[in-house]
Amino acid sequence: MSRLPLLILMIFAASPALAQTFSLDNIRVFAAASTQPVFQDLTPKLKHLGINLIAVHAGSATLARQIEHGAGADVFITANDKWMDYLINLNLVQTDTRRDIARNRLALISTQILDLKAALPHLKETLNGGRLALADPDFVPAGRYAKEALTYLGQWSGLKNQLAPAKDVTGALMLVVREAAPLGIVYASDVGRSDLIKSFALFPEISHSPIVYQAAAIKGAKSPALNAFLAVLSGPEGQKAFAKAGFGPSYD
Amino acid sequence: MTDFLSPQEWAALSLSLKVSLWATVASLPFALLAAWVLARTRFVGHGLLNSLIHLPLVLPPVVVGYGLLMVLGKNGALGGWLYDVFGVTIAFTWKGAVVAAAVMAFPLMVRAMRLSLESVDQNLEATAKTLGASPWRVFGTITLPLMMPGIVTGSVLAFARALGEFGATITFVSNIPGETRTLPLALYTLTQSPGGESSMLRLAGLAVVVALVALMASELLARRLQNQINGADAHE
Repeated sequence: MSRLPLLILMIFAASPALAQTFSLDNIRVFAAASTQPVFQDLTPKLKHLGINLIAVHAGSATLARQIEHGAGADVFITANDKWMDYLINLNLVQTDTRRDIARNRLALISTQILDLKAALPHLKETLNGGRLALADPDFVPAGRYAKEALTYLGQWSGLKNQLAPAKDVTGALMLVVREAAPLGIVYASDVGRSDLIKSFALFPEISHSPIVYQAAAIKGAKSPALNAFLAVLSGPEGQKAFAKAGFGPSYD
Repeated sequence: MTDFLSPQEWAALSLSLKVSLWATVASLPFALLAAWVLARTRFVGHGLLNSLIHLPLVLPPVVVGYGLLMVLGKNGALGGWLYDVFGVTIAFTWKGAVVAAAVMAFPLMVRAMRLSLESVDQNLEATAKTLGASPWRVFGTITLPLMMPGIVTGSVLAFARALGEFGATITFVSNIPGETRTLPLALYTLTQSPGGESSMLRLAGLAVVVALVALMASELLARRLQNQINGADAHE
């Protein structure tokens, strides 16, 4: 019985992840779910620069609300300027650090080998009674873009009751990957995140507002690595990581 | 053994153990007090207090998490005060995860303690008192030892509940790797990551092992304590 506390101590002592992070400058990034592969890619490169990246991924809406309640984020990265403006209105953003960092497109995906380009105008028939996975169109950026595109293509009202909304775009991707939904609308950059996606078609760019990713430092961010990190995002290293993950370049 | 788990998985496991331990230890005195009040006193509002203590058991955990955020968040009454006066932040830190786990586990701990307290023979306490023992001495030497099985069971139940806490935690302190991403949150993150299946199976297996060890240890401990109490009775 007296050995139990010792055992617990040993478990903590053996945790290498905690010990390792002390010598590096931590930077806490709250980033749109779709950017997850980019930051996975950048994490080791940032370590070389002395930056320990702590990335929290969720829908931009969730992240913005958490920052509002004092989540201690250093940098916010969103797929939609609406949530950036929301935080700016609350006076929580260092506005001079705000920048465009990448672009994206919207894609229809399936785990079956299908001609999805031909299916775009007839989604209801292609779904064949199944549900269309997408990020929640009420508040998640990816869902709002999807709603715009479906409205533009004249299919929104027909599909409204046949949706499977997820809490972020990764959730929508997973619904399709696990074959809970035959079709899904995600970002073009999400297509390569799973080998199980066998076909996709891009929505015409004109069908929705431009998808621009923005980054900005949060007020009160204490990390000494802040400027170095933002420079990496806009610089060649960051842009390469975005391009590799299937994002378009920023036009800044 | 470190090869078996990735650094992130280790971080989630050790954070989970740390959070659950703190939640259990920090709840103990309050739960003891609550159990004593519920078992030994009668007053107007007794039923209400009982219901309030049990509320986290019944409420959706998201509601508890949101409530904690409202009270202990940066803009909350208590959270704002703590920050202004002491510079302490609870929300979105591991301490917040401890608070969320403690609140969710509290009713289970109180229930077990209350049951064991109610089964303590009050004649023994009265006898000690007539022999001149102070109320604190009676509590420390008679009541507390006899309650021990209930305290152990309550603590283990609370620890187990804290280990599994998800909804209140993710709402109150988000899902920050190394800070608030406990085992359940890490598992959830993996369900949301393409190709996370193997890691998820490993962590799920780990969760089963941790839960089994905790439950078996408590069973053993409770039985030994019960034997001690029974043994002491037999000797007298």
